[in-house]
Amino acid sequence: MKPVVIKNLTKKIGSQIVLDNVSLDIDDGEFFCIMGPNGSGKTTLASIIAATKKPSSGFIEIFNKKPEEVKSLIGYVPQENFSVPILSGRENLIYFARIMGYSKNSAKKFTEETLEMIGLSNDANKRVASYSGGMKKKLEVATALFPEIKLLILDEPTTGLDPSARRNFLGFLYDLKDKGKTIVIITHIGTDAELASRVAFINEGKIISVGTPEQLKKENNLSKVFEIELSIKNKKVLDLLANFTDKENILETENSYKILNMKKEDVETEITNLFKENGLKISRMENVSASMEDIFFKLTGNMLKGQNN
Amino acid sequence: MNQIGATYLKNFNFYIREKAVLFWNIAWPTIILLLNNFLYTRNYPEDLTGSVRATTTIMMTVITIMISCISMLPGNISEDRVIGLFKKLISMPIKPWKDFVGRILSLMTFSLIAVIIVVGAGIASGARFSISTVKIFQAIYFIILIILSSAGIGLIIGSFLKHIIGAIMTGIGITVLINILIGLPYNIIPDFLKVFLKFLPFSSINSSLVYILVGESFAGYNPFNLIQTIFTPIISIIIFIIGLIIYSNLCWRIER
Repeated sequence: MKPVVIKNLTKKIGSQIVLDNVSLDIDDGEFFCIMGPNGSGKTTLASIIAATKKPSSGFIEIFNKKPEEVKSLIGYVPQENFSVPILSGRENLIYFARIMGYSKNSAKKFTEETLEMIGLSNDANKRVASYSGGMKKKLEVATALFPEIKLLILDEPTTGLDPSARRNFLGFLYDLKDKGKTIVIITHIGTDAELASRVAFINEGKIISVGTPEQLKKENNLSKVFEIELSIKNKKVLDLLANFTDKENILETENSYKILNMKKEDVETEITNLFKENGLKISRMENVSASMEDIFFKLTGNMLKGQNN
Repeated sequence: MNQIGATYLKNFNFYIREKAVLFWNIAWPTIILLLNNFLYTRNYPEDLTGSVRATTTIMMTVITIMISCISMLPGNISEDRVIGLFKKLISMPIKPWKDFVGRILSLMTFSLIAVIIVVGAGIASGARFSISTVKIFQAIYFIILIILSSAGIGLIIGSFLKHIIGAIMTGIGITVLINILIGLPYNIIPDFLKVFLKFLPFSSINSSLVYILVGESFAGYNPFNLIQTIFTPIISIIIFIIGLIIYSNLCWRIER
């Protein structure tokens, strides 16, 4: 029995097609990642799986049933924080446990065990309003950890977390996978997707590729990319880099430029000299492993974080 | 019962933990009442003072309930919409009516606590009511009606306005406007407004409470006429049902 089976699913909002003929299977116990840029339809897809939106057409089954018939098996954590700020962490968990139908005593038992597991026991009596972003996220994921929940859907769970909190949080998710839950994570962050057993790229409402991170890199012939870091970003840099590749192969990231298909090999000296002649100083230059963002860029020509060249 | 209980507790905590809710629902009406009873009515003839203070106490009680239901309930709903709680709840195995029942029961409990404090302050400051068992039951009936009609308006405001401050201020504005009308002495009100106030549940209920607990001369007229006896509960229930329908459709909507 597959946790998620989607066939030819389409979602229209007004005249806009948000999801276009999407088909997807997710296996039991998978850590599955749906990755795409803002506005690609990934949150809509998550909402349909979580029964908070209906598709316009197509087929979807969660554990062989319609999503709205198996709500007690689905733990959905939307992108926005939803915990009640006026309540403490403990009261929030008891509230959600009782919404799941637990008695007062069972809710308390679940809450104490879960607080211990997520490491929030010491802050359990503080109001959620005083929690950090990482603490809130952990608490909210905990509202999807009821024993009967088999499928977790986490929408952009690491957005807004600092690097340290992000690493801790991803470690926490990975432990959950080992407990046998099927995890679906929606993200635009490549390093989150590296953890997944399979990744589905979604762009403009269409699933454009699905596979393990290794498969996707292999299929796209992209194991290494050339990365150059400068203290500035401008059109002149792009024009200079265009001497070594086609412009559509240059990915501008937050701190650097990445060249996906270098025309020549051993170009470090040539690049250094050219940039020096043009008064530009390179801080770092090396071949690095391709990330999931690089593969997405190669497939679509679009970047995941909405930056434009 | 677990789901209703959970919703009840969560919302009741909102009412008793938010300092602004406590101030506007309990402290503010009590302060106004005490100011009126100790300052403005101290030179009234002695035989009238108790009844005048009772009339003010009833009016402040009505205002208290209206602020809870027309202003704080929408604030509570708006907050849950803003933080995305409804989106989470829609994905969980809870029926919307259970959330609604928990919400209304917590509102009723909080309103009744506020009423007891305001009435207690009124009695302590010299308000004198005409009481009998039948009158107490009549008063409870009218208090339930005013909670229903006010909650109906509160549900409409909370369902339409997604900003917490906007929802609260809209509620306060409507409450103040209605209470300016309720507070006008009946004999100076123009005739067309008298008709309107007889059909407006809040003013009709206020007059009915004053009539049964203080006397006809303080109510200005006898509100126990056939039209008001029939229309006040019907209009109150209709407003409540409209609020319930709008709340269910806007806050619990599954986008198709």
